[in-house]
Amino acid sequence: MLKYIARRLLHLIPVLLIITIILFAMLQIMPGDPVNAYLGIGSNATVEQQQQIRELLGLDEPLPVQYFSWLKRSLTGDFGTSYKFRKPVADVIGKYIWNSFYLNVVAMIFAFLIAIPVGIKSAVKKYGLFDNFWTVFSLTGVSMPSFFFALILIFFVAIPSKWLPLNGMRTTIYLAKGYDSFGQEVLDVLKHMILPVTVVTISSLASLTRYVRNSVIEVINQDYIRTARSKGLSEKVVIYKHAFRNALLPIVTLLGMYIPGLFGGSILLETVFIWPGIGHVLFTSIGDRDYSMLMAANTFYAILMLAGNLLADVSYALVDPRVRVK
Amino acid sequence: MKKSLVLLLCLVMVASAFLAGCSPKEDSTVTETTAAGEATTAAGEATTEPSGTLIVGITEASGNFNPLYYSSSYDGYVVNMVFEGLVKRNFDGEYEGSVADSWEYSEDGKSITFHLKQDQVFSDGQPLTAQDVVFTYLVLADPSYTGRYSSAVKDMVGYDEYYAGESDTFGGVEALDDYTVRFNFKEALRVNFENCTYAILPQHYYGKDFTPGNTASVEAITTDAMGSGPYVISQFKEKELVYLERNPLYVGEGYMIKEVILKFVDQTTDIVELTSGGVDLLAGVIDPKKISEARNSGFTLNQYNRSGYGYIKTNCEYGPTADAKVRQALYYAFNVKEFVNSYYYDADTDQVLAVTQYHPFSQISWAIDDNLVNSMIQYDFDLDKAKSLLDEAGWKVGASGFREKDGQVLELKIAAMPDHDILATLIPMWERDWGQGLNIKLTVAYLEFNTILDYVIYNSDANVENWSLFFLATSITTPDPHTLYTSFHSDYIGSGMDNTSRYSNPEVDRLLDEGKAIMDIEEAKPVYQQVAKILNEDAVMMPVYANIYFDVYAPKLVDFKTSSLYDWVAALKDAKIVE
Repeated sequence: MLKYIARRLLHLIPVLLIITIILFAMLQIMPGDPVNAYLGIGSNATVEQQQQIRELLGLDEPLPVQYFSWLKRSLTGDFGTSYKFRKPVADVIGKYIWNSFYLNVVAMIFAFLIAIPVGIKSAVKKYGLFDNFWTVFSLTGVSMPSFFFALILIFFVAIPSKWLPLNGMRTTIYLAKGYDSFGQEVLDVLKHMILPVTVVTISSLASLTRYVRNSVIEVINQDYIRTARSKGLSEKVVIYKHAFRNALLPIVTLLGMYIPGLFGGSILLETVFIWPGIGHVLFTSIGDRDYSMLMAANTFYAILMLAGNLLADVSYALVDPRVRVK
Repeated sequence: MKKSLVLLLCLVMVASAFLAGCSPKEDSTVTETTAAGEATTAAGEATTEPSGTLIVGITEASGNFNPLYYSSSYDGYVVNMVFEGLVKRNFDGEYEGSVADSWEYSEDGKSITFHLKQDQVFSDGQPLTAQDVVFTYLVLADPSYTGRYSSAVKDMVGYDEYYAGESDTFGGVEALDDYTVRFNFKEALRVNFENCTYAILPQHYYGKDFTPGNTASVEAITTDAMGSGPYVISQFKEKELVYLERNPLYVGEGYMIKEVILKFVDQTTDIVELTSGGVDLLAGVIDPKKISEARNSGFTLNQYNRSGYGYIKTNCEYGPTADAKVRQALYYAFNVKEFVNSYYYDADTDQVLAVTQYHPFSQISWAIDDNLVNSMIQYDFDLDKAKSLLDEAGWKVGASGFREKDGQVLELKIAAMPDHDILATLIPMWERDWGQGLNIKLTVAYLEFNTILDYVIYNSDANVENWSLFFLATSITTPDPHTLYTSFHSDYIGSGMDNTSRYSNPEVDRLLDEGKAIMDIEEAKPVYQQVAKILNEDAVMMPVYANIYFDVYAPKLVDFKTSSLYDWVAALKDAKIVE
């Protein structure tokens, strides 16, 4: 098993290198100029001044030189300075990414907690009223754009309630002057999380419920389930002990694939709810041609994606003895 | 099965550990007590003590509050609250003393000497002296300076040598004694004065590790800004808010609001935040729907002309628009009034919240008078006139159904931004009037903002054949019409420069050169009016709208007077909170 993991890890290195080269090349192909984008329209900097800034930022070097100096610095943990924020990239990303993470992780827990029982029940009573209700519900959830759903919640739930916050992550006055206690802060953040978590949960619930349902249906039709039933086991034991365990396999894989998503931000949702997450920061970095931000963030997501894949494979091996034997 | 459960549990635990781990840290940086907040009501009756809290909704500030390096106007609000320059504009747009209390020009007009007030301190208690002014400008002139304000020093004596590394000293700004500072310029120009108005940084704080040739240590101080202005930053929370408190050491008059919170809001819900009490003030609102919502909910409104406008510029160097007749034809066939009257119509008050103008000045420029307005050609919508102009220029309707000349089809390449409300309204109008009305072939390329700038500014030399016209808006922060210089002088044609329409006219160049040296604005006025007349006749630019800005705010904010060049930050000087 360890050997398997080690081999997989070694494979990741060339893949990651190729990804960074492609990313670097894509940024260079983008029209626009980072120096001017940083200075902003109407800066009135003369052409000589612009050229001098370009040299200071190292943007006048040949592209391969720029790439390798980026790589060398990154390997030592220095991801450069954001052109826009004028702070180390790692600081900027680190500040925002956890806010996205809190939101996503809570939403994911809710989504799994709801999707697993709902999926099983729908599978057992396939095409029943319960199943049909969740089918319609899921389809509505997945079809409705999340920002639209968010606006509906703000206007029809938050405003009339006069209690739920419209947006933000913390109450303005506490944010400025501080909380009296840690407990108060947690409660305040949780209160602000209600609406955005609802939106994220419902939009991810749709696919997750269908996934669990189909996986359980597939298992129920297997021979060993018929055998279990014919042994005279109760339906409860058949479903929850025999069927569910086997249906879990694809769901575990899914969990691995969800990991990178936990750190990703949703641009529209974060904008509408003014949630201080990473999505909007990265989106504006593209407009600002903030090369060091974009390189660092995209490489980070690539690593997460690769790690998620690896984790899925490894956990699959852990829960399924058949894979392990091979 | 059990292992996957463990995995899930681990995730939950890790997540809660982060929640638990990060938050108290932020908590510990906050040491404010709530007592201060409670005291405000009592202080409300007191006469001279600042009191009350104002929450302003703004678009997100990035947190770079370094006056020499910030680039977003939202960061600029904070900079203007924390820092002061030698002089600042008053409500009428005229300069008055701020850090300086008087100034005089030298005999030859090339130098300006400022006398500083002697009782001023930065917010850490250290005195503000002429050395701090010299330091600020030394950073701007440094060869390693990477900010956007280097144009402030480029006309000063000794800048070129210092920037090129040929000289160790910069003679542009000199301290004559602790409280007297002199600016030396290469030429005596009216517009030099504006270059003396930049915010002053404390040398002992920003310049601790500064050596000429290495500005990195100055640039590194972003969020922890310190100046001599009326407010100090007490908290900055990324993507959430900036919390400022009255600087107790500020010696100037006014600024009677104790706490100002800049809360970051989103355009889709900002008006709801206002009406639900989440924020007290929204500045620069232009949407008629939001304005009527605020009016109907009992909020107070200030209205003033925007200092700037939205415009169409055409390519005067390449393609059919290089011919002035074609440009005039397009102008006549562009129903600007129809657009403004529908797009900016406010049904509530039966008003149009913008005006149409034909001159290139900001609405508040001193170059505008009746004489100028009357001398402008009003390009009122006239399709027949446009057709005959195109005929005169040799563009006749050909077999293809489009106008042709020498086998070439009359084609306009429009560089447009996607998801842009105004362009989404303009393009169908152009298709109707230019396309069907005048038989011109329109090709619309949807480009993201930065790509358009790449076409017309950053890489304009390489892209000159890729566009015929584009739409952008501009904000002008001065009533001085000298801003036309970089936009229309032929020296500024080329990559990285501002003459985006690539317009070259020796007569305009001459007038602009003449105008910038005239000290007296009454004498300079006719020169700029002449420039406006030429630009108008040549249809180099079509101003589309000059809109009206509204500041909407809760009634508890009183004595709050804003104008085009006196924004809400400046207006805090006289404003009060009455609970």
